[in-house]
Amino acid sequence: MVRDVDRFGVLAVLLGVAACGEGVPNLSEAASVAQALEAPRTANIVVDTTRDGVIDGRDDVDEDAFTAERGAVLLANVDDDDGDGQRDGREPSLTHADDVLDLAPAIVRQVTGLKAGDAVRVRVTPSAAAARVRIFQLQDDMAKRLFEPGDTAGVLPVDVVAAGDVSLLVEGVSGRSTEWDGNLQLTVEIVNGGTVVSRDTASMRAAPVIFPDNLNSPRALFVQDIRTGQDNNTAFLRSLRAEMPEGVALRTHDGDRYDRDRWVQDSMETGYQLAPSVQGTQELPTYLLTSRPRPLMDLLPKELLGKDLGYIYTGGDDSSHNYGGNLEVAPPYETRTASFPFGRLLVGGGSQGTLLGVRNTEHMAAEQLAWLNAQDAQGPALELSSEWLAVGHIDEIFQFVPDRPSAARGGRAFKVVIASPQLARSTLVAHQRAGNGSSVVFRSRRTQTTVSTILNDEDLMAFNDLAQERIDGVQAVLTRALGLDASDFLEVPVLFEDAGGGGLDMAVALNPGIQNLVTLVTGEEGRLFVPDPSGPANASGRDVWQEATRASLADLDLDVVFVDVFNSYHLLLGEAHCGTNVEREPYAQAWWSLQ
Amino acid sequence: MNRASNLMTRGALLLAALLLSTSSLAASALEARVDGALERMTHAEGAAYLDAREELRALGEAALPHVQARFEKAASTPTLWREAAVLEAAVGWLSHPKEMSAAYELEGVQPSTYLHARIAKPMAVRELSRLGVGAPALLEVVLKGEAIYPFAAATAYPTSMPADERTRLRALEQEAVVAGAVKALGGARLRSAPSVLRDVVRNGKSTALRQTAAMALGQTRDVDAVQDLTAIATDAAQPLALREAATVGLGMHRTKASGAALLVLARNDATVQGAALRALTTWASPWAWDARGASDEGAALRKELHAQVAALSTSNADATQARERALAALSR
Repeated sequence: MVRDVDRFGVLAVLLGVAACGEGVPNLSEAASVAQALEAPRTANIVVDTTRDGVIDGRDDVDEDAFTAERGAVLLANVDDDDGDGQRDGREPSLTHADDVLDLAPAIVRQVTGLKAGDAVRVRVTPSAAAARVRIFQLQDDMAKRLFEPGDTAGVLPVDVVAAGDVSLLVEGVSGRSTEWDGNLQLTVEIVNGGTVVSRDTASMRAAPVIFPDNLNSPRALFVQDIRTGQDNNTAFLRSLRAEMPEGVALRTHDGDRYDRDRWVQDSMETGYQLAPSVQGTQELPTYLLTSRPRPLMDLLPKELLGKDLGYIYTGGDDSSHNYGGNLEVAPPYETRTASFPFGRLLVGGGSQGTLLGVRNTEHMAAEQLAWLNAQDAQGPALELSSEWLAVGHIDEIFQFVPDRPSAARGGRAFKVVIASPQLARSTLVAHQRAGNGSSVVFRSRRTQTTVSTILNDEDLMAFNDLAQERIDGVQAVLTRALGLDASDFLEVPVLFEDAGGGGLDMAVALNPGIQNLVTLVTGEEGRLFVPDPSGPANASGRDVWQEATRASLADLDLDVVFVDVFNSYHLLLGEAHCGTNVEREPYAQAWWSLQ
Repeated sequence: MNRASNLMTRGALLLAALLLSTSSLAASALEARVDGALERMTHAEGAAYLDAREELRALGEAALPHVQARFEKAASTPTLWREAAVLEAAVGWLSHPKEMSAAYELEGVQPSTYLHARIAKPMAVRELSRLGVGAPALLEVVLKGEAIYPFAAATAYPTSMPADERTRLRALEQEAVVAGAVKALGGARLRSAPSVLRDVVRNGKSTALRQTAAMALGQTRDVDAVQDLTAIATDAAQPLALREAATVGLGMHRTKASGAALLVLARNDATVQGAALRALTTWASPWAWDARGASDEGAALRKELHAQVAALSTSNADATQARERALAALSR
């Protein structure tokens, strides 16, 4: 009987530790069985084709194609198990026991009957894969480098192959990209002179990096801790601490350490890679480090990178269109013509120009966008007009939120919370008509004004009329692409203003952008941290914009917590979502099952 | 009247005359000092301008009537537009010094603020648009340029920042202040604003600044702006970006005359047809007409233009798309 060789077993062999319990490999036994099975001078390589985390006889069937049912998976080894500040795949050797868990096992079966002049070599194809893969050979409790990125082949010592099965570990130095779709053929050949005596090939595929959407359960919320100065975020943090759903970790980092750069949404996008394992699946949290040359660009590589948290950096220009706030994920959906089981990437950009009609074109950096699409899991990314915004992010326009009551009824599981100048204006008009034109808006803030001042400002109103038209255009694109209808959008009152910019009229939110909210919905608790719009008060002393927001979000059955972000984020061109980031659970479905 | 009382009356008259004479002398001395300060303010640049302005401010509110009178006179004489603009700013300093000072205390160009913003670039438009009665300060910022603005000291930048980056940021701060003042001038409702903006449209040191000025000129809703902007929009010798910005300005002007001008441009000039049609969307905004308190007028003008725009043939896809948007806006 062939004993299972799982990843933990390989680990034990690698490190020469005394493993205990089931699953500990016995290579000599395995080899003897293999010896009995293989014909002389027959090449045979076996990977975890059945995706159960172990290599056994069942893997040695239909191993040359990667399908929804079969095919081994490879992770990009981009975490830092040994904690040396380097991503493990960038290091030429295995430096920590846990590193092994991020590599894919393979076994070259013992070859009998080898003749003089025979050589046994391992090749990786296509060349795009060979440039991104490293292979270790396990021998004498050591992991020897057999194949380095860019090599043509790795040669196995004949005596070793003749003596028994040879365990290999395949490491993805980097993952899917525009140059490599992740498909890889691992071939073992017996050659003599120029003649191939025997050859066997197994297929593998690199895991995509997948980005969860707001419906996925949160694990941790990242936010900077900025305690001093008039732009401190103490009030915001206090609300988060007080209202954080149980089970969600609040991960704060010292704002001063990053020169008060607080835009943690922008510096990274949280995601994961998934591979099969004995336990079912193995997750490697893998974030995208966005092209953003600001202090927080150090957070991910210098503070978050570690055991079981890695990152990818694609490069790109320093346009704010590359930032994480300009990358959102629509929850899974299906239309008559397309299916997006892991949701769909949405990015901002476009060529429609500014609101007033000045030509302007902005897009996410081609490198970053191409990399996102190359993951081949949540794309192609859909671009929505955001080139009219000074910051240029789609989170200044909308956010997805869970609609659990609808889901319970068998309906759509999400809604789109979308900024509405129309609602903001109509709320103020109603307030003015009730005799409250002199009501204060943004009370005690630097931008304090009145209802009538806003409504009587012809240029401001024209600007918002145009903003509403552009937002309607975004809504129309989302409606078509996602198969939505008007009832899927929840409008919240947001006005925009002209912030100028090099002959342009770039827009920013006039009141704190309510749609720029943080969604934390766990199994039990559902909470939205919503920017306090600081609108005028009605006769009962209640903020009319808050009231309109509550009414809009009422059917979601989620707690709405208004948070003060006025000085700490809003005046600096962002809101609550911009100042936070959330690591979430992966999708329940494994990506390989949908190949 | 007896002799004694006659003498007393004559004495009182003499005294009054003497006092009046002294007062007139004092007034003319004050006016002379005011005129001297204003003369220097009109012609000086940089620190010399600021010195002259301080000299004027030191004269206090007593100087206001004379400055106001001079401003009224200059404002009605087109050739004295530059002097009028300086005088309008001077009136601002004498009547609302605190609010005028706010123009020189912009958070958005402080490195300690904007380097923490979501996009780390200096921005001034929003603050400059909220100056209220301090808006006349915009005139001097535009006329005298960045040299009179008290930008942050070199120590305001992070010590780790390379020198060339500081230099780049300082240039952006200067650009933000001047361009921001030009833009804010459009909505400031100052009498000198149209003339100052016309000058920037013609002589601004970059196309971007001239674009900003063209848009702001339209925003002033000055009667003559329609003719000025139309001339720029049809001038093939001007950069296309400026010509298109002139159409944007016409859209912001939002009068019957500017609507008609945009229609003519859309009909006759293929180069700016798309821009003119886009500007019509801005022009048509019902929210804007409502804000002006001219909802009915706006509705009538939209109806009038709708039929004419519908009859237009377009020269390219961009213009066709712009026409559809304009028609949608005009039909609201």
